[in-house]
Amino acid sequence: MLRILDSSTQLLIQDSGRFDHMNHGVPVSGAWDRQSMRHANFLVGNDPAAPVIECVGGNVVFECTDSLFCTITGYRAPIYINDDPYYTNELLFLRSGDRLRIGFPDWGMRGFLAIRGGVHASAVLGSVSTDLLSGIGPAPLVVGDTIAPAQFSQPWEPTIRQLPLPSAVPLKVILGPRDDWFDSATIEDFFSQDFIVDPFSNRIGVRLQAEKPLLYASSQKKSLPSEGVVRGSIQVPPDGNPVIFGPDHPITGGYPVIGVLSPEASDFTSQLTPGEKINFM
Amino acid sequence: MRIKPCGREAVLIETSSQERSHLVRAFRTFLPDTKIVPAAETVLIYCDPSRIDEILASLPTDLEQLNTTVSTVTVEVTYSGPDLARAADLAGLSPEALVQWHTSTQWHADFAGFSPGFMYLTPSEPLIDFPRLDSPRAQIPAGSVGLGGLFSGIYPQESPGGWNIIGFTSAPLWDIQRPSPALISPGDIVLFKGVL
Repeated sequence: MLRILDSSTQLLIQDSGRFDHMNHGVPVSGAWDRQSMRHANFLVGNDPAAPVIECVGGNVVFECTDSLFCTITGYRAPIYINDDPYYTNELLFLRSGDRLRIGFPDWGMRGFLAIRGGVHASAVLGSVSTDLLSGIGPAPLVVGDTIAPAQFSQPWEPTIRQLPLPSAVPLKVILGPRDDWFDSATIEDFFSQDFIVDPFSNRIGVRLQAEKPLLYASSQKKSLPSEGVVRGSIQVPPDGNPVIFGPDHPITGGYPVIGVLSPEASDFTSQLTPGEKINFM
Repeated sequence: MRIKPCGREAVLIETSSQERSHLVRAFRTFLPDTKIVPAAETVLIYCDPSRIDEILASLPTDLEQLNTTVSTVTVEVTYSGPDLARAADLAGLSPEALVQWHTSTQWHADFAGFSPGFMYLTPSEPLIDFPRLDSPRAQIPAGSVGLGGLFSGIYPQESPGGWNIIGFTSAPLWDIQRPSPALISPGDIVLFKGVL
């Protein structure tokens, strides 16, 4: 078991999300970086979608009260067990009394902590994911909270103790469904310019500042009736500054989606930092 | 019906309102594990996009024999909303006549919206396309009953919004403690009843 001793950051329990209640307007939610969640669970011998802790930023300190295997993936950050240095993407073993500290990330924005046995939490509508848009799911974790394994794990000899460190993923876009709301010059602009990641970005979406706003084609005068949208959608409001939907996005949206990121690129948007420049391909 | 790309894990189908009801019923009956998000003029289908033609071809075209259990939900409303007079005026009716229409027509819960428990309700006897307010309100109380576009709806929780608010209900639209948190599900018939 881990107890949170210090944290200046947001700590959320996440699994793969809630898929069975979209017809009632419930967002899917779930770990933003699904690949990192799978890697973390793989390292500790869990099922791929076992609940993990999604950490925004580093500087988190835990105390171990019962020995366990754990790991942190997602961003690249120094890890300390007492004073011994480790790093993200390494399998870690903690003994009772050990202090685990996640340092300041060298790269990326969000880390995913997995413990062997999965993180125990109460499921709401079939998932333990914390959905910050609708408020469904467990409350964010705070100092004093404990993180316990959801299930007992058999004794285990891990064979893989480290995974390669992550790096930037190209933001591959599949155009549509509403790319026809933009003329070809604007589509050109969409692929050729840099966008700056706005600090007011969160699990609902990554807000971008466009050098050249993506304005609708002059032939498009009517408004769009709300329609179903997926995570990774790049939605363009009338001001021309796009938003990339994250896991807590609402089920429907009323502004045109110019394109949708590949699943890997959508996972990678969890690692974008405020002020960073990105471009689409 | 037009099929539009929507990334690698879904497609967006543009449909007429009739096609949409048919498609949604077919999916829910024959492919209930397929995740879909119906909306006013589209249905989003989570699937391998390269298989969509095959998936659509597998659905039966004749749904007449289908027995779908339909629940009726009655919602009690106090018709004292701030936009009652405005909405009535837009429809060319007295406020009493608008309330009479709202309570005598059958409303069909078509699809969910922007917040858990919010359902877009379509009237069996449509009146007009109600324009949204010029300036949306920053805060509409939970339980507000509104008219927007061709739909009526009830706000499950406090939120901003631009619909014409004609009344209020104390019925909880969304309660996570209930075994079935949503009061109204897609396919339900909703009847409004005026109370003082």
